Amino acid sequence: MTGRWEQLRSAWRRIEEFHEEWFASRWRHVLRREARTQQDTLRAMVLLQTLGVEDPAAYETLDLIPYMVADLHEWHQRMGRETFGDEGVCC
Amino acid sequence: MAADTGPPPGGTARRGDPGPGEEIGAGGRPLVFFGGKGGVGKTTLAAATALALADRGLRTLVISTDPAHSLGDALETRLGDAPRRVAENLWAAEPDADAAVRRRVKQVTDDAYAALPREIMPAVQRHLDHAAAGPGMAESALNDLLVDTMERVPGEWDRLVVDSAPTGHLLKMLHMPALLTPWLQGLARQREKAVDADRFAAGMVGGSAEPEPDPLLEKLRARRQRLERAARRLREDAAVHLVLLPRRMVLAETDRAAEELAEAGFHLGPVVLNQVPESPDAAVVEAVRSRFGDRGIRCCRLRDEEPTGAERLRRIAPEPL
Repeated sequence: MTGRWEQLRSAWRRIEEFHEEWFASRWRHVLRREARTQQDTLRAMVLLQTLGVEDPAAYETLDLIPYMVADLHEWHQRMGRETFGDEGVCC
Repeated sequence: MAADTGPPPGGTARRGDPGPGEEIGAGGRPLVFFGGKGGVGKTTLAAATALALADRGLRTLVISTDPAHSLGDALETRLGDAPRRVAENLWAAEPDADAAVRRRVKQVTDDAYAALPREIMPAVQRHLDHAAAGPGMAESALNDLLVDTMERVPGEWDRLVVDSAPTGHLLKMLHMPALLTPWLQGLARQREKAVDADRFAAGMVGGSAEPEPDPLLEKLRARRQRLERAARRLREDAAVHLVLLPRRMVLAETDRAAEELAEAGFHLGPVVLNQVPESPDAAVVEAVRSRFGDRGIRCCRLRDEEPTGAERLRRIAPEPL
């Protein structure tokens, strides 16, 4: 009896793992990627300014800069690099 | 110039519009702007108007938004960043654009220190300094100061008289809130979507990330709302008085400015025809009359001495054409 429960339980675990691997994680992955893509767009909008594209909203969007640097910092650390960019870009 | 040419044509009277003989700014609109080509006498008229309003018992603040200030010269007094009382009921200021940019950068830096990791602060500081030196920053900072000041009128003051920069600058300044609003909306929407998608991913399939409040989004929203409020007030509570000289070239540019300002949704008050000589070019005066007659025209005659200082400024009494 106990062995049967064990079997059932492990079967359920396998199903769950399968679900996680084939469904949930993929969804999560896609959604996270979507979030990142949108953040990339925002990043591009702001960094255009540093490339010399005149931005009438530059003064109003100054608040973004620290968050962009923080974002860049988080990204290069995630990518496994302790420092990033030329002198002064990040750290 | 004698006011013997009959009453100006009326017909577009609205709340706050001066009547035929009424002084500029004495009506219901608390924000009074002077615009026009460079060198037509905006500063002098702003100072004279502010003084006249103060003399009527209205608590009046006059500020200059031209980075190259000359309001202090017109009032024959030294002015600074903060409003200073210069006469009974009259305060004046020449806002310091660079100081305003520095204050804004400091505010952003302080907020970043509170919210973000320490190790990135040197980089943040560098990027902010770089951005602060960019084109248009000083002008935007002055615009920002103007928005701040507008929120104190009515309230601390009954009237705000703004001595504006030349026409192009004025137009840009008045367009700025409208120009910025879609930008900030776009940024806010991007950020909202990104945060939403992240939260959705975390929430729906049991991820690890807990939804966090988004301070940046809140800040952007607050700035957008502030600009929208300012734009609304500029349309509802402000009157722009264009100053011109009785010369063809000045008239042509004033005509364009009037068209663009009206198109942007601003209320144009009576124009001021300044420095009118004893025998002006009748054709130009007639052209001014046919173009601006329906808004009202005030005339100031050409004087031998430059009208600076309260005494001489009080003698400038714009008369209906």
